[in-house]
Amino acid sequence: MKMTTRVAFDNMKYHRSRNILIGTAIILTTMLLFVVPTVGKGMVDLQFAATNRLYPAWHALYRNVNENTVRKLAAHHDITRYGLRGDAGYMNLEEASAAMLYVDQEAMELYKWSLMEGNMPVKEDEIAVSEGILDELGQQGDIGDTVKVPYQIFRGGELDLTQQKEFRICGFLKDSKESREKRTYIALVSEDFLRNEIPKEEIAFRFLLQIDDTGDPTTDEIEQKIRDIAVRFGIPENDININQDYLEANYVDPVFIPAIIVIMAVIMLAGVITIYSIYYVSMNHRIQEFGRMKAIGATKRQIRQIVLREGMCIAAFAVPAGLLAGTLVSGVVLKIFATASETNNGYVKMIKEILEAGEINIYSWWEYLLAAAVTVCTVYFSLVRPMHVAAKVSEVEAMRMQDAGRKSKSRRKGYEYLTIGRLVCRNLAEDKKKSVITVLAMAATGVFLMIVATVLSCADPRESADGSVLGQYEIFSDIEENNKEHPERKWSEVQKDNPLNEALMKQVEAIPGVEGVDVFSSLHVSGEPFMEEDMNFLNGVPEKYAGELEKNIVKGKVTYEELKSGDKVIADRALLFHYPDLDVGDRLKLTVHDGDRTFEKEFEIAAIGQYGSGLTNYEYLIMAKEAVDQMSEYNSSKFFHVFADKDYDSKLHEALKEIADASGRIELRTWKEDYELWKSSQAVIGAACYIFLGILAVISVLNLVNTMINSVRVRKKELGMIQAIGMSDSQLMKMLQLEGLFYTMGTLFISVGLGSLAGYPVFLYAKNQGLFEISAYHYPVKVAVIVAATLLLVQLLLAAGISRSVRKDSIIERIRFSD
Amino acid sequence: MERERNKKIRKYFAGYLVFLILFSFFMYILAGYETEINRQRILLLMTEHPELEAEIIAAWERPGRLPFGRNEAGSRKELLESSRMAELIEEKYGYDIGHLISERTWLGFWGAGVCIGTVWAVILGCLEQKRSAGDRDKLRKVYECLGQFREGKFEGIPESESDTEDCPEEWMKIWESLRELGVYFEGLKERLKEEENSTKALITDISHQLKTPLASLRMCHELAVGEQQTEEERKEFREQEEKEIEKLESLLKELVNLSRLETHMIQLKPGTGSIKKTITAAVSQIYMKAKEKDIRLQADIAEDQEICHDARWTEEALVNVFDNAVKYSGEHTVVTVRVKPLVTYVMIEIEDEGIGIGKDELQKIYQRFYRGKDASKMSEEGAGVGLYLTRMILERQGGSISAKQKRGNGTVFRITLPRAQFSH
Amino acid sequence: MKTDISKILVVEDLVKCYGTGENMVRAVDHTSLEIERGKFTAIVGRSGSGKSTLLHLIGGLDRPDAGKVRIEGKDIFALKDERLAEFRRKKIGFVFQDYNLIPSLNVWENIVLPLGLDNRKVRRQDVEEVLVKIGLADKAEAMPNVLSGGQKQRTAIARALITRPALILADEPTGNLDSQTELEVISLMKSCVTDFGQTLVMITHDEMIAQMADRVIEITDGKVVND
Repeated sequence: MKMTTRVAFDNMKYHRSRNILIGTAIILTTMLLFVVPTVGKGMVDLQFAATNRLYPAWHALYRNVNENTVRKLAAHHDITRYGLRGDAGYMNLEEASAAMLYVDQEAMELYKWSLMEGNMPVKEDEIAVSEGILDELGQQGDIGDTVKVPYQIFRGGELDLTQQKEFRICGFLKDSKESREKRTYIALVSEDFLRNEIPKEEIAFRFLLQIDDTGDPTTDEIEQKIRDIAVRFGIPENDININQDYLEANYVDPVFIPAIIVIMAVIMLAGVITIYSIYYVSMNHRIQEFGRMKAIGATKRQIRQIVLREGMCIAAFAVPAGLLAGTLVSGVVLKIFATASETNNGYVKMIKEILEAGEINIYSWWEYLLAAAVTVCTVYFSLVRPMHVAAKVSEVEAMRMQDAGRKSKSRRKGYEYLTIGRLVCRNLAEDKKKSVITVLAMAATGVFLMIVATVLSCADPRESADGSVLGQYEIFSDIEENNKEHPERKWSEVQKDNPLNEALMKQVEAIPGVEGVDVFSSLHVSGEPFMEEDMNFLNGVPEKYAGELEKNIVKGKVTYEELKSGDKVIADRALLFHYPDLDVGDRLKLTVHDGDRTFEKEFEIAAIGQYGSGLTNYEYLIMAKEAVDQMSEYNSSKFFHVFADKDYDSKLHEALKEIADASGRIELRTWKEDYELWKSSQAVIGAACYIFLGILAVISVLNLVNTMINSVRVRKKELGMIQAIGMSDSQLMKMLQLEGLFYTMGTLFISVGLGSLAGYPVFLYAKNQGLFEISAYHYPVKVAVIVAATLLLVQLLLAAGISRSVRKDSIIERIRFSD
Repeated sequence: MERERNKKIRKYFAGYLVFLILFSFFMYILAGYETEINRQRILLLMTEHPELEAEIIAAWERPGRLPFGRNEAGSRKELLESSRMAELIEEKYGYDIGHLISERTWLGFWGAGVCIGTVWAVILGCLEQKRSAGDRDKLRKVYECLGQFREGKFEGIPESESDTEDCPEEWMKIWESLRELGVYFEGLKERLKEEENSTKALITDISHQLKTPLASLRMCHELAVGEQQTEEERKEFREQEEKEIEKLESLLKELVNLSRLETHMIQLKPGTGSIKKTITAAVSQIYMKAKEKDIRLQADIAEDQEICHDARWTEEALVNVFDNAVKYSGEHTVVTVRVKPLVTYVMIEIEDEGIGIGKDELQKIYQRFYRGKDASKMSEEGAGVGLYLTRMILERQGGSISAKQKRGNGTVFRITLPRAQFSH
Repeated sequence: MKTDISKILVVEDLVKCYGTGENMVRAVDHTSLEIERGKFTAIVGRSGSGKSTLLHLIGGLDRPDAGKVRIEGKDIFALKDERLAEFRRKKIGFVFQDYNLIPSLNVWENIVLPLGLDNRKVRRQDVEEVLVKIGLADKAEAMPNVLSGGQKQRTAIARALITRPALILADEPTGNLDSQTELEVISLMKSCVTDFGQTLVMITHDEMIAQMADRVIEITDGKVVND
């Protein structure tokens, strides 16, 4: 072993208590550095795996592609796989729907469909069905049997008259639970059938494709390519459907990596501060040691090496331990994340399934390597300065001066008499830099914690749900603007025969438990400066909300009365994210669409306000309901906000659901669903944040422990002297407590004070960003109390422990102590 | 004492009265409020159900006989009746009958409050009483101690450790002071005794010291006046007699100084003066003696120091040291005096090249009438009082003296004298 | 019990060992001695003779394996640690060879520290007087690290004297000083002690210092060999 390594190793063993602290700090840092990317990646991997299983594998599909284009597209070199789907028509069933599709082998795979048994239909009269379809048809059969199917063929964009034909069953598809519930099924027919039934020029294929993914393109790049190809082949934007979920699951989201890097940088910083401060605090003490080494001939380089190697020796023990701990912790954390979510939809279930089956390899070698490497860097960074200081020590100075390294004044005004408190002030003032560094290092974590806690405490699921859903239930028309298959779902169409009518309102109000129904109206507007594909609406808010509207105006001034005039609107702040040029006083010349009728009208943005999505329903031009209703010739009620006497009542919910189901054209949203969603998501995020911050806090508490222990170790002799001249044990205890109290209180004041102050702007930012639908500021009392209590507890225990360890030696042993 | 106590009791009593009045008032208002509400309820009940008026009024006016009135020795029937009625009212109209009897409950509350107040006041009073009793106990102890002092017993101050736990710090301090006072008086007593003893010893010592020279003087005198001797011999003895008288005289002088100093008959009167002057005066006294033996006296005084000392007695002390140096040095040697200022002291160093002092003797040379073995051989002169006297003079002024055997031959005496005098 | 009040310090059959087994050293070996009030006693002996240990035991800085130390009749080891500390700061003043000043406090603060620990009022005049006496009147605000050895030791003496303890224990107070400073420091201690009627017990190996003492006790191998 080289001399420097040998010395470093011995040093490490000698300064055991300090090095255990550093080791613990390194272990925790390593653990965090490992857990964060591992859990991050694990979560993403799990989601991807679940997505891969649940979602079809195509990157995109182009609709309405004719045979010619199909051939051309197939030759495109960026498209690695493609499949075809042609919709032949629908079976004529009473209540259920069963699409009759031609799907080629590739498309089957891209859709992740497969036959339970049998073969794909090849001949014209062959069909693959599911049990559900047979049930709906009221017929029975097995492979090879024939079934009579009434069906309507798609011709020229509409369904033709009902025909009847006998098909021979060639295979069986599996019914999913959902398709059974919704009574929508799929039957597969042969290409021959399609071509026979529909003229060649009218056949509109759906072209499913996968883009060449060599060179690890990002999702953005793939999307761009899909659009480029579409443009080149004259496929309109509307006919492109990109499988976003699948793409995100399989290709790296460009935001993901920077986020992980930022978090790791924060951890690294905390680690560096802590380890550095542990070194800094004990450095003065060791200056003599290095001075001696220099005196017997060690070069600067060797001293640097000794310090560095000592640190690295500790790292050599701590890093594997940290990785081990990280492995355990990340496993547990992942499990918690996966199971914490209360919503039990298929997706979450799938994630759990995958996790339990252990199909995803959570741990990969590069994560270990990365964590280890970053930790070693952290240790190195924190050692740079101590190395420098140690190397700079002059041998004579170090040997002679007991307090080398500090420049103290030669004279100083003092107290006329001393009390324990004043003694403590003196001790702390003696090395201001050290005291300040310790307090700041700890306070930094504290401030961070308080800020996050502020945001999290503001994120009250009840408030968030209140913000996102007005009332306990929300009834709204099933509106889809861009669905070619359901043109009747366009708002302009719905307006003409609005299911949200007086009758419905009466019906709803009659349900026991309903206290009131607030109706919001809406009108579609377009024109400058809004983009064409962007749907914007005038939001008619009832007078009941006049107060809330006026209260939450952030810029400009307008009364509800003025909004009634119909030419003034309040723009919600969210609109400004899309159109930042908008400002108070702007006049917008917009086209108002009312059913089939359109007319021009000028609106003035009288004010800009900030409202929850429950109020706006994502319709950001707010005006009085009265004015909107006047503009419209139809019934433009778009939302019924139902207020009930209880947060949730299953009977009431059932009743509303019945109404919605009966209509078939309206949908129902409940406050409770949102509440549950917010609750679970906030709980998961909160838990994650607190775990992360908790570990950071442990690291910084280590800092406190180190400072206290060290301040006593260094002053062992001094404390012995004071005791020799009459300080009693209880006074010593009091002194140490007070000293600790300074650190604790300093940290507490800065973290709680600054944290609370900084928390408010962060809250405002989060509110503006609509994060968690935060609306009201809540001071994180709980966290503040916990932080304070923990700090005080730690410090009390510490002082007690330290003074006990001090008392273990007799006074005389301490006075003789020289190191 | 008694008045103080009465005052305290009065204070407690007054406090308790105020509490009683305030509490009663408070309870009265509460109860009144509650009764009013109940009355309103009853009225409401009665207007709504005029047919039940009688029962309601009965329930209202005789709350004690409602289900809670078990203590009442009233007829069983009545009891049953009223409880049935209460139940009726309770069930039928959803009224809690408990409210109706609340007046009684309020009274109970008031009673409990008053009781608690009383108990509290009594406990406080007792505590106070106990504390003052404890205080009195301690004061009695102090009185006993002082009594002991008066009788001249200063030692038996009991330890205060036993009951330190509940003693306030002031008490501890008084106790400590008392102890210290005892110790101090005892010390005075001891010192008095010691002084008496030392005076006795001094007298013995002096008489012992005077015995030898007086004996030799007598012998000389007898020989001188004797008939057998020749004139020449007689003259020789006369001269011898003269010498003995001189010696006796100087011894007497020393002894007088000694006894006066020792018995504090002489008080040193320090005044600011030049140390150089004092040293010069001392040197001049032994100048002749030194010249006889051809001993060079060397002074190395860097700068004169004005220090606070008793010039006459300091000179005496220095003379003793110089005298020793000259006496125990061979011919043609050097005696050096050096003066060096220290921070708060002046150091006078006297160095000779004489016979020196053995290591085992260094401790003893300051003892009264001690003479070194070698010294006695060299010169029969001197009673061994000089250094004792010197040390006493110097220490009385806050100074010190110590000697060191030089390497080779000779002795170094180091004398320190404070530069400024402090009064204590 | 009735105590002989003229004996401020009584050591009875004191034993203190260090180490175990073969390495055991009897630093103080069945030592008994009595010291009279108001006297200056010097304890001499070679280094390693156990004189320092004896002094530390007398001062209650360490607890013995056997034996008793009575100061003013009180068995100090019968006291709990807390009481012992209080007793020490009231009754005993320490002066160490390496001064043991508190580096973060200036001279004045170092001197008044024992008063502060004892919750006693500081009389400005007293402290100033002491400062003049030790010749550091102009250095009241100086920090220990700029003082010379003699100045440091004088500060330490002032610190030991400020509470007017009955017993002053000095462990080779001049060990690190040159002979002139030594003389000064010893003179200072001696005169202070006689002025206030305090008792001084000093460890030394210097003949000249021992001469100034009223009594010299020699210790060898933890035992009193010469009195």
